[in-house]
Amino acid sequence: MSTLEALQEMLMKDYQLTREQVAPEAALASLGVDSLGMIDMMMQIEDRFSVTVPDDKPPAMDTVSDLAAYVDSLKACTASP
Amino acid sequence: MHRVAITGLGVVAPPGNSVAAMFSSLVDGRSAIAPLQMPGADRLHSPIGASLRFDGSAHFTPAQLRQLDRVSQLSLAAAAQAISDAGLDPAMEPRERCGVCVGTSLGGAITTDAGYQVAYAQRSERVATYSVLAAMANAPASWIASQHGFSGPNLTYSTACSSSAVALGEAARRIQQGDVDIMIAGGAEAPLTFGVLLAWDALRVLAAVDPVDPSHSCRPFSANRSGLVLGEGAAFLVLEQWEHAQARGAHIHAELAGYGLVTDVAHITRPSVEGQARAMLAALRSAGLRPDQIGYVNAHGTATSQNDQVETAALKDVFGPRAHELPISSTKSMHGHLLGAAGALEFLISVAAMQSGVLPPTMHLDRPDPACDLDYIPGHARRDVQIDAVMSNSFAFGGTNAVLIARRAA
Repeated sequence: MSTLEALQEMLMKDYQLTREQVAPEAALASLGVDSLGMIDMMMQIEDRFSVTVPDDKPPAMDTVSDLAAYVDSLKACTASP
Repeated sequence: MHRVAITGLGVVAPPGNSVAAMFSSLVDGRSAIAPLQMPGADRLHSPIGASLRFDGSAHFTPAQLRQLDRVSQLSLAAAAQAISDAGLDPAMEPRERCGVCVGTSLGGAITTDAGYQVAYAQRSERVATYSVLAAMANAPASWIASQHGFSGPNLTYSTACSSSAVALGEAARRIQQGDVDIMIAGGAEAPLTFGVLLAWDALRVLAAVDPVDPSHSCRPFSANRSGLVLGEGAAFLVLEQWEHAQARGAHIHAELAGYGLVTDVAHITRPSVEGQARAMLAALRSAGLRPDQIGYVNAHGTATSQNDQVETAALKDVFGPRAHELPISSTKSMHGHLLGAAGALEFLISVAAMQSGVLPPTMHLDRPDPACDLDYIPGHARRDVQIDAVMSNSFAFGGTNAVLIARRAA
């Protein structure tokens, strides 16, 4: 399963959304993911993908695909020596 | 001063998750007290409680559940029932004329407990993101307000066992004074965690587990009573300014006619006869009623050795010789002690009793205590009773005594 698909599953389950609603270009804020929701999301991402989210503020993320790209960048950081 | 109408009732409590189910369970004498299934129960002296069958996931999304301690989940469910019962459409009301008053003793106890487990037991930093917001005592009141758009006064009262009686009384006063038209008022408690039970164990006030039938462990006014049993649940009422209720054709269940608020400073836990009697007299005075006009009393009746004998003496003080003809019961024998939610639940039960003409019993009273010799409606509900006013007592650790009176809607 790709990072994008895994994140879509998480959002669908958490916020009870359909697959159409969590399309890559969907805005996270419109799905109900507010600032606290994002913090919570980061904890789940750490658990699900075995990555560490750095303490400093993450880059601005608008869409579902932005979030997937961010998670991929964290995976790359964790993978490299 | 405006009169206060009770136009909606809602309950999510161990006997049943609706007013009808809950009341019929009490009338049938069914106890909701049972052994607690929790890790560590074997380490507790009194591993029993009155638990709710309430599955939050049937009402809220996983994302919402992470923000809502069980106490808030129960509050939202019971408040929604009350609002629906009142036929209230929040969109039709000026928002700032509708407020919320909640009584709770422990707030989000389960969230607090879980957070400490992570911090101290697991020695981890990964405390749940929403811990502060879910645990704060004012969360239930805030969520009720935000769900329905009520932007009037939003208050949370924490006075131990009388918290929600106080919440109801204080809400009523704001309506009387004309500050608001509608108050969603009540209480909620979700205290059944290992940590909380251990703390109550330490106080040595919890009932011994009945060896024959654990559901009989709470025995108010009995010679062999041994203490209280904790319970969880929420009860909410819609209180409304009388003319406002009439103008919209609302069904009025009863009038919240009296509120006595008094402090017993004799001791931090041990009640005094004077403190309890004074509270009942204050309620009668505020209702403009004589003692002989009360047809039923829902006693505080925790089944502790101290309370039940003191309350008996206080009832005699207030009601005089007529005390022996007054039907009194402690429904804690069946639903347990809901702490912050007790006042609202028991007042709601009293209103239901007056409406139905059926008085719920005090269960498990097989061996009466000679010091508690009043009519405690032992063993069986009393039916076809015509009563026009009821009293509900809540006497708390710390001394905030609150007594509420409901009168038949004229």
